[in-house]
Amino acid sequence: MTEDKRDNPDTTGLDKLYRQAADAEPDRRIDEAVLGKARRSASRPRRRSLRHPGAWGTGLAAAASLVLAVGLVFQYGWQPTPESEQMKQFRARAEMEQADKPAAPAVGDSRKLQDSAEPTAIRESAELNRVQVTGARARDEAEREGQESRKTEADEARMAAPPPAEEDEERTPEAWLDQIRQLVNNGQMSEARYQVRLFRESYPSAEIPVEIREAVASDSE
Amino acid sequence: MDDPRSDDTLMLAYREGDAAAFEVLYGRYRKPLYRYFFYACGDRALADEFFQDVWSRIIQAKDRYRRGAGFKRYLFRIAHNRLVDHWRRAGRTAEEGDEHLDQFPGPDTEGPDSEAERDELRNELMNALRQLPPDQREVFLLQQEAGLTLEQIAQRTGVGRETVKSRLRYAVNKLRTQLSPGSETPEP
Repeated sequence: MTEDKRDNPDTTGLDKLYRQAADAEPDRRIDEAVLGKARRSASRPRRRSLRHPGAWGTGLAAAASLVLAVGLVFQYGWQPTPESEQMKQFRARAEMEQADKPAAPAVGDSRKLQDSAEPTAIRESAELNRVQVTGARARDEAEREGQESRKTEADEARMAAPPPAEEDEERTPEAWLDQIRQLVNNGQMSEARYQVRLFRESYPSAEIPVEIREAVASDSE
Repeated sequence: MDDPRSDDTLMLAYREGDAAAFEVLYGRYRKPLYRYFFYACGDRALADEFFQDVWSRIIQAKDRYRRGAGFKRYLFRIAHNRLVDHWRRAGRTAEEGDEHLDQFPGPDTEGPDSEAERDELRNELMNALRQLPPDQREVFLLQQEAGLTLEQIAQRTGVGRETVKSRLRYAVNKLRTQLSPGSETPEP
């Protein structure tokens, strides 16, 4: 800067002369116009530039929150919850029990179970409270059933699952009697009696082995 | 009016909503900026227009002002660009004629006798500036009104430092010749 001043042409005398002569200045109305505009602009809230770190931080946080929310929805929103797994277990157990019971009450129980097992899928919001109560009851029953099933886990491991009624259409009478005999041997007498009843209805003229008839009869007494 | 705060501090205060800070800043530069336009283009109406235009740009862009930008350099950079735009739109370059200075206004009003000498000196200055090529005239005004160094003027006008130095030397010599006591003022 010092070197720059040394390089400057000598303006001694001319500066003073210029100051004396150059006295032009803006009109007062222009002053008022400029200052008025400045005051109006100052009273407005300051616009923050996008380059400002705060603005970036806010935008980044919002974007991260959105990504996190979408990720959580995809992670958990579309998978079966532990509750629905319990419901499935409960429904399977209920169907097993239904097979042991007379037909008419079994249908009623099944409908009741179905109502409690599918609360949110079929109920409108007006029925939400009632659905939640029945759903909680169903969960309790499912948990109780789960505990019982765990207790007899070793026994059930040896058991063959009872054949669903729909599958019976494909069975021969001999195969059906073999399955009933296996139920008797496993001690599942209620299921054995139920299958015997169905067998008699399906094959009224067929002969039921005596050991099965005696086992079913003795257990019912 | 003697606010100890620097130009930068005042501008940043204005950016945060302090209108009084802008008034101090405006008071510091209203005359230099106006004279820059007035003596550069020689037309009061144009000077009025350019002067308001530059301050409007300063106000509109206040949120983008950063500390250390140097308000005076910032102000006269905008002013220089405005003047260059005007010359371009008028279809002339800085090297071309300066016939527009033939309409250089005289004193607005006839003053009392005590103002007579000032009026005469003002006329001499106007005539002397009119004799200068526009590029030399602007370099002189940037030095006088904006207080810019040769380097800063070179950056502002986009020419080399030695060119600026040469233009300034020519301008000063011509003005000194025209304005020295006893020298005859050429007729317009």
